Amino acid sequence: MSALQRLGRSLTAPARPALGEIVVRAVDVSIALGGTEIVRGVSCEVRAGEVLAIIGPNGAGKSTLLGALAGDLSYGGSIELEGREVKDYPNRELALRRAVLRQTSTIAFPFDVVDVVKMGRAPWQSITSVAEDDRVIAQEMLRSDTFRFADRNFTSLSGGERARVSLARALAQRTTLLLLDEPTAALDINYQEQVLAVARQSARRGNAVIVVLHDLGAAAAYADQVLLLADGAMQAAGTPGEVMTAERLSEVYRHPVRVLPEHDGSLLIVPVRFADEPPGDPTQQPPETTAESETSP
Amino acid sequence: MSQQHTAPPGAHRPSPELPEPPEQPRLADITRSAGAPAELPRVLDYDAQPAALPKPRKRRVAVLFIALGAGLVVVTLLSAALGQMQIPVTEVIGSLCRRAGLSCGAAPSHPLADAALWEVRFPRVVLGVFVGAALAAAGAIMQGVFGNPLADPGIVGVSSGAAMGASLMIVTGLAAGSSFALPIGAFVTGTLTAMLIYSMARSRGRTQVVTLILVGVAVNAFCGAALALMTFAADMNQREQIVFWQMGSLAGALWDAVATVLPLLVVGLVLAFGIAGKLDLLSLGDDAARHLGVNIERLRIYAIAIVAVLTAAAVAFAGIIGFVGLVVPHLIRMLVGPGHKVLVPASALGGALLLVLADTFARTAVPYAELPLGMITALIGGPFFFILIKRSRTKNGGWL
Repeated sequence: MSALQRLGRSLTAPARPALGEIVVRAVDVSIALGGTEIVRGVSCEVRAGEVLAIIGPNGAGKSTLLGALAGDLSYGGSIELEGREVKDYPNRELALRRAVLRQTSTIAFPFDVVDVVKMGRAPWQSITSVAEDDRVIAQEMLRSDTFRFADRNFTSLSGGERARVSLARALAQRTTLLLLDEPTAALDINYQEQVLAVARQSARRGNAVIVVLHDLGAAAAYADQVLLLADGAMQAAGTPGEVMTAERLSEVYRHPVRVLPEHDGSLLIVPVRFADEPPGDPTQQPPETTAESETSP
Repeated sequence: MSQQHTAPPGAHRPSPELPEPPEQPRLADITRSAGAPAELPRVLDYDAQPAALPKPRKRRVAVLFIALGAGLVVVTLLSAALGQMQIPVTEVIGSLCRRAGLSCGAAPSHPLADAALWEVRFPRVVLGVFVGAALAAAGAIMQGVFGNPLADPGIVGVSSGAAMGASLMIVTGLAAGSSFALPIGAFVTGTLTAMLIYSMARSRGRTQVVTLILVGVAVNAFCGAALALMTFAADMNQREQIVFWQMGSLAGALWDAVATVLPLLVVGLVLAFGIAGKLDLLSLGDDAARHLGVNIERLRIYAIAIVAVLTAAAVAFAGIIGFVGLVVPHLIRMLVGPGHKVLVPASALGGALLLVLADTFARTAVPYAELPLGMITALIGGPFFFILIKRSRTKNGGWL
């Protein structure tokens, strides 16, 4: 029955918004999980062509907010994607408009890498041709530098390789909105920069990208807008230069942070490092030393 | 120091089809003013030169299907030929041809050969094919739904749930009245058990294997007790029927049974094939599958109903035959990969092949006696299950 209904409802590719058009508009979003309010009073707008970085300390509610933007969690307030409330979209319609890359990427069965990326084209089944799908898959695998091991088994890959394959899968969905949850966490410096550059390139070509980042320097370099969350509330929003000031970051992260403008205009954001301890007798260690070493990152 | 920054030769050597990578971005190019696409730093991008994807394993899949199909034909013919009355394969073919109105194969050498074939052997072999196909396909779907290669209708308790319903029909005498009572009873309790297992074994969108197996232990224990109670309450004739059931056997299969199982099997297999593509997505996990447009809860309930239909089809007349649903999909997955569009039909063929083989062994291994079929599949499947547990342990570092 449901199969017949699906056949009858002919899906078409959603219209692409023009550059600068609002893709996501969140107004006064609050999210409660298990009775606790995790996120409250968050508002933001992301336009086609823009990258929004969500930053904040651990437990600030960044991934939860991303989950609500993805349509996974129920929320208060309003999140509009291309003019329609996210929770009102049928699953597949939503899958044609937003792709999500989560932090963890596991798989139950040993699929080949190329098959995993192919799954990203599932929402487009019967909308695009197989040849078109294959072209997109090849492109995204090359873009994420996973083509080299296309016929390897996903379960045999390292964490960084898996993360890139999952990115390729999300990009293969070719959606207007791309949600990335710490896409650089498992990657080395080269791929960190590549992945963020790919995300921004995708934005420049007319998509909206929302990315949760822990690397403040990368957020400053690659994002057009930054949303600073702390304890579930919006501390600041705006351009990286406006939001990421030394005083504000030091206060929110409860650790002194220095923000240094580079000669090329980018921001260098570094935490103040803890001073070294002089070598001492391990048997007579004062208790406060252990407490301090635990708080050091 | 600078040597560390140059990659060793060959570390990023592109494969033959790979176009030359564009130049890496230079630090000076990365500026905050890069607003227009023209000023962007060059990133890995091969838009202009699309490369060919690696070919899917079509040949391997084709070879597998041909091998399984040919094997099934050979095994069914052999199975029909072997038994207390030995009938040459040529005569089996001849008998089939005569029914089809063709003239090929040999004429029967024994006056009762034709009757033996059409009244005893053929219904049994065909039922074996159907039951094996249903069990293996149900196993493949179940493993896909739970995202776990250890799920099997027998292990998690769907089979014994269905057996309970069927026994209830026997004890109440309803089974004697209508040939549909048995499969309906098996289907209803099978579905209920499957739903119960599903709701018990899942938490936070994941199925832990330990929970799944423990729920299976509890369900099997409860259903075993219920079966024992019904055995106790039944009269002699019914008791024999129930005991027969729990051991699993194709003995005494009639065309009636075949005709009842066929529609269930066809419906189950067609629906199973319909959701095969979505089961692939489910292996990414609930969230990722939803992000790709799958309505997970609906798919799961739909899939479990299919498992219940197929299990009921298998269990209704043949009783509990374990491990077919576990062993066959696993072997197929090792041969052609985990894609469900191949896995489900290939498992059905493989299951049919395995079950007919096992049944032939069951009734020919000991002269003038018949071994219970469920016992034989468990003898093969039990050790296999151990190997599977051991493998998944060493591979995933524990229960995953």
